Amino acid sequence: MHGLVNCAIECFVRDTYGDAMWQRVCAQATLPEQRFEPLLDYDDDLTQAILRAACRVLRRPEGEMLEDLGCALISGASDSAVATRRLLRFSGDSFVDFLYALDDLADRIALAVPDFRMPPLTVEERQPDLFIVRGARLWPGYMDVVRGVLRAMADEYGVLVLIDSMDAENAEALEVRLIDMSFTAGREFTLRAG
Amino acid sequence: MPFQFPELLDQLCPLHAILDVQGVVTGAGPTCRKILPDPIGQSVTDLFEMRRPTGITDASGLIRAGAGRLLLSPKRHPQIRLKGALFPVPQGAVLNLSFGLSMQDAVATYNLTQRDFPPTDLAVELLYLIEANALAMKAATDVTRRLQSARQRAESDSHTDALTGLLNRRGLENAVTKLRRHPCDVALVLMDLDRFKAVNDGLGHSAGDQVLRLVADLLRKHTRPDDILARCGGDEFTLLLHNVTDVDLGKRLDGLIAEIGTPIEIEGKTCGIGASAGWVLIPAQDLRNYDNIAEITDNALYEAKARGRGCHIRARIA
Repeated sequence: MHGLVNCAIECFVRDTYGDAMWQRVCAQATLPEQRFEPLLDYDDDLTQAILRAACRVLRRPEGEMLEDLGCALISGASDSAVATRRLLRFSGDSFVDFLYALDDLADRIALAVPDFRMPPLTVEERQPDLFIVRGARLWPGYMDVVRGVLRAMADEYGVLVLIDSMDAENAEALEVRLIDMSFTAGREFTLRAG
Repeated sequence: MPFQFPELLDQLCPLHAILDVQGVVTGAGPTCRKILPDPIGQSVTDLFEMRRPTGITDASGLIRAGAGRLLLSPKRHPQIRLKGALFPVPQGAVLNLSFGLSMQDAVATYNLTQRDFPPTDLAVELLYLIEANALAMKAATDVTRRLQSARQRAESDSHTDALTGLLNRRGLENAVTKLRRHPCDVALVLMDLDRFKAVNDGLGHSAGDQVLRLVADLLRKHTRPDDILARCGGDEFTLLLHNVTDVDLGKRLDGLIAEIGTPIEIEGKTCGIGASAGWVLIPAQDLRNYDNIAEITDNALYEAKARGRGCHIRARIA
């Protein structure tokens, strides 16, 4: 797994629960305390072990924890969250544009980090206010992270949405229902870098 | 008849201006109006500094020159360099503009948004890429910095001289501390190369490095595996040999100095270096006063050099 993924998990645990909790997660996974490098590659099993350990130490179901991780990538005042939400805002002027642009998200990310291939997403507009987002079955739990990202990005755009995972045999899809396109003013975004 | 498709142009090329035959602006796209607050009725050469083509003195001359590529800057913001394309139309021309490499600057100067660019334009992708690249570059620089400081720490913690594989000063100190607990005699030898500076200055540092590696090999050859060999900077070597008699040590040093003195060929040139040494034979416990012992031994080395080099002298302990 790309180091960026492991870094995201590490930062999520450290920022949300503190360094001591990260040490406990590493201990639970029977690892020395890890500090992941964002640009190195790590064994896939390591990522899975860390995730399992985090669920156990934090006493949270994996889906729920990964959704929170997705939210944390975008929301909050940390430099990395500010940077991530800015980069995602470049993909569309409105939340609907943003949803359409999810088709290109994997390519867009690879443009910045060429060796980082995320599972591709496809977006289907069922009705003007109902979108289906599907993910390739490559990374277990990936769509949980995407759910968190979509929720946080809806907030960014000031849109009220309902997001549901679709029925069990189609677990890799999310249903995004737009309830109110101007629920809040959303966060201001300028092309000009901070 | 004036040009007929202003709405189409507004959508597809929001950064355009329509000029009449005199080069006076008669229409401007929405983004163009952000750059030039009140362009209608003004001459294009009053609004822009023409960089290319050169030699255009008045606006009508530009129109007469016909279709072509332009480089120009708004007079209000000369740091912004626009790329332009002029296309003649009946009774004038359409001038379409783009920000080229001034994109970031222009976005900041004019407070541009995604809607200010044509839907097919790559401007926003370019801005995304600039920011994403800056972040990726920062991550890479951070990794390099962390690796560098880890390496520096590892090097300063190291006990080995990277060039020769012998111990360094730190390694030697560590070895001395261990050795002085042993109830045996040890010989401390301080050895300097002769004429080494000539090799370094004459043939360069890489030749010098080769010589130092060669000497290290000879030291290993003339000693036993558990003897302590160190290079403490430059061409100074320190040896600690245990369980040797003075006669035995004298023979070893004779052999070593003779072999170091044999001319060697480096990078096609013959180098004649040599070695001088001072030594002392003491009970290992006396290494407690290492600095003292080393000073006395160093005096013997100095005497060997003064006596014409290529020899070794036993230090006299008062």
